[in-house]
Amino acid sequence: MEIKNYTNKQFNKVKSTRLFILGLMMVTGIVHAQFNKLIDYSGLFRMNGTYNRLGGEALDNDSLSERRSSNAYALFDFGINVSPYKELKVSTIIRSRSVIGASFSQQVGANIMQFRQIRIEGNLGKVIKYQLGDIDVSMTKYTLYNSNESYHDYESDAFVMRRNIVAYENFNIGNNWRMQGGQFESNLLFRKYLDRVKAKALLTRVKKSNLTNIPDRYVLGGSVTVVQSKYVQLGANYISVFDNVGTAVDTAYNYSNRLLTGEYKFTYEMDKLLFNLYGEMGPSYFKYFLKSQRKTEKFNDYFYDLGLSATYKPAKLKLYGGYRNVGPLFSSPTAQTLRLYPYSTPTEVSKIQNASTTRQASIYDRMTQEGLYNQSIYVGLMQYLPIYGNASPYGQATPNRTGLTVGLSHSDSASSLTLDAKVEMLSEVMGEGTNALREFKVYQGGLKLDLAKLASLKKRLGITFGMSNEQTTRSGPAPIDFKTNLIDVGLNYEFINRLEVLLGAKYLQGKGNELLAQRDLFNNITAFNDYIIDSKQTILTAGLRYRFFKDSYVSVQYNSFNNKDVISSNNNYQWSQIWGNLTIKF
Amino acid sequence: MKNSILIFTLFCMLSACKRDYDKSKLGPEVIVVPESFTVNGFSANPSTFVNLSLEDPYFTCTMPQRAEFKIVVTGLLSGAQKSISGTGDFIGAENSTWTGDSDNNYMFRTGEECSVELSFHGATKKYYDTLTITGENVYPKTTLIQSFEGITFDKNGPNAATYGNYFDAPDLSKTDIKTDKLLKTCQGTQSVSFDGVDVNSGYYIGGMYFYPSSGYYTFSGYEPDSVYLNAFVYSYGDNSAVLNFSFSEDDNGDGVSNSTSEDEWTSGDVPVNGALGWSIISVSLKSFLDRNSSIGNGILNLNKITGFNMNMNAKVAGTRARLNVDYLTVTYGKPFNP
Repeated sequence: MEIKNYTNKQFNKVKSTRLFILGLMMVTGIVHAQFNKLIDYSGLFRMNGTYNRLGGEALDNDSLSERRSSNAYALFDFGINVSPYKELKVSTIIRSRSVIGASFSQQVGANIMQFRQIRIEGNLGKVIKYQLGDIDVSMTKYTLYNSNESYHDYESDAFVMRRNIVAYENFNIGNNWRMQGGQFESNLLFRKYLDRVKAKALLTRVKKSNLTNIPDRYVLGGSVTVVQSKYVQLGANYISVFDNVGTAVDTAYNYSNRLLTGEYKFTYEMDKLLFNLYGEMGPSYFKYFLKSQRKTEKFNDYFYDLGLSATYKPAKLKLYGGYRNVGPLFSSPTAQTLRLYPYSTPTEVSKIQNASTTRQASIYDRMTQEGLYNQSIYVGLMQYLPIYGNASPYGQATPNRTGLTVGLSHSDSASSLTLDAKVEMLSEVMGEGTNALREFKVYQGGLKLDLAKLASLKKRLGITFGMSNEQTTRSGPAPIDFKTNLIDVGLNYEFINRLEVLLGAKYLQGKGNELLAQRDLFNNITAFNDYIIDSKQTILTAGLRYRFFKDSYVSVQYNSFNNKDVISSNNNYQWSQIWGNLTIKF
Repeated sequence: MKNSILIFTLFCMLSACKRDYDKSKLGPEVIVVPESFTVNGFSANPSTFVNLSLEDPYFTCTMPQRAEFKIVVTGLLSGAQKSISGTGDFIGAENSTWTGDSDNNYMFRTGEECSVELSFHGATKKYYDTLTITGENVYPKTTLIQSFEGITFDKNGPNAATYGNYFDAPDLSKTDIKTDKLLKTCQGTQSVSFDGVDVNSGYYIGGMYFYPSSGYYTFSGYEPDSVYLNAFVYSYGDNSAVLNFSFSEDDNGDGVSNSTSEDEWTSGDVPVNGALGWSIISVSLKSFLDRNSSIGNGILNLNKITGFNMNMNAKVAGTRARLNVDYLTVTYGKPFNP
């Protein structure tokens, strides 16, 4: 964990900020005392600590790599919500954070006191709901969507706890992107012909100008959905990412990407059956001018995604199928940007092989380390690691994919069982580096069984099971044969009132060869790098969790992570970690 | 029913849509050969001795099938490296000619022996040859201002006016500017080293002049925004220094530049990559500013430049700064790229 030493000037600045925030808290306290109903508070306190031990062949004859380490911090997010008027709410979250064990001078850097969120929201004439400031935005899977970093729908509660912390720290609230700007929503009800019209508009700035050569970059989006009845629904979406060249004196580039999609959903209902026909389609327009190369690149493409589902209502069982075709040059940065930097350096025990090599972030790092995540929109396709998902690395909007999806799901809050199974048969639309096309077969699914509900027990008891199998093949002059297997197993059992034992296991295997595309600033493929692996990653976890009340708990876990690299034993290591956490949310 | 027909029609229309691409595949051609792949007769041509200022060498090899190849030439003294990649049924002048440039910030040297390595995508077996450089590369559209080869600068000694001389420094006892053979250079065997302390907290530490061998530097025929001043700069990793450049004009054509009546143009501080090692800085002449707009004709006359001046300033006032500079050039159309 990085601890900065501050200069006097920086120290004074931090001190001033802290005094200002403390003053603000005092003022709100006074206001709260006077106008009790206008202000409410929320908060999250977390104390988090890890103790790590690293061993294995990667540290043989190694005197320099860190074998043991510990890290701990405490933080408090204090939310103040002020509603001076019925239709207006001003809110802020102030964060103070402290590294446990650091001296006072080091704490200045670590004990960051800052505004984590500032937002104003309200209603205009009871017709338009608005939010300004730090906002969470999403639209459809092809327009504005923050896809999950890998398949993890049926994880153990032990892993879900860790992942929730990472998501909170990175503002990964569902599949929203956290941006700064404003969004406006309206829901108009009609008495005749139409049921309702839903409209949404947003404008955010995702890159700040440096005033000389880097211009401001904005996201402008909107959608209109006409709900004619519960049987017919039509919609249109627009999203644009563009540079405002006037905000820099001598702009180095000028980028714009526009996307327009149409949506439909038709419903047909029978006594015991419910049919849905749905889909989305539309074109994308990419344009990028790069001054240093005196070059403008433009390309257009499109996608369509059509689906049909049938639900057997008595059993809450849904059978669905779909066909999608996403063009090779389809571009939608707000839906294709990865939420995680796959090649970033892990923050815990990061060096191996005599501290000469940075350990590649594993599935355990991806699940537990906040610092690996991305909150920016990238206009080019980011590099990904095929072992964590090769068929749709950029989510549903992954370009150059076409094929069928068939699935079966059962989900019911009253039922003890949630399950899902999905098969995808995809291929590329256009070959990469050769005319031969890659083919992708994906088998995914899992179940969550609430045994307490099933056996009418008063205490919690549940099991989870998830799996994902992906196969990528290509024949021809550059053959590819790449397979991954992911298995998740979890158990939670409340053996004493509010005290649970949590067990979890995760296994990821990747084997074969792939070719990773290198891209230039215009998103064109310029070269291919070999990606050849034969590796197995295993996480075994056992822990306890005591729940004080909803979302507040104390937990201790022991985690054992094993990385087995058949091709290079220098990368074989075992990582044991004890993790403790106290979270109180109100 | 109507809706179903509508959707089915839409689906058929979309399925029938053809994308209008001007290519049949994405990216460069890629071929992965089997592990058993072998070739014969790999060699450098026209000979294993090459004068890069006069000829462009190429490589030959016969192959049993179409393959993706990579040839890497590495200078064993300079560390310069050039990679040539291609795809074909054979390797020859058509797909492996090397113009003498390099991919990194080092340039191939006269008298240097180079290793040449050939590999194929998919096969682990590699093939080797050697190449000896008998003459350095000459870069097109480039005017060499100073390579610092074959000359000696000493702050206490006389200096040839054609090569430049020392600018005064606030305290010469704490400033050293000299040709340096100790450091691994990006070109040849010498660079010039600047090392000094900003004793009066004025940032400026010391500098050098460069004059043409006779008359003017003439960069006419090009617009200022397409003429670049370039230099290799070595940073010691302390991020301590910045450079600035200026040049003077002979506006009235009397053969002498006069700073009280004729234009002088300055680049201002040019940031230097603070990371350890060599990097290239390039400044467009268009970005140079008139030092005093009230004198001279205020027009950047590229055919009347009487000399350049290069200064090193401390990045932080009152501190020590150091760096090395090598291969000072002017290029036309684009920044220098070795």
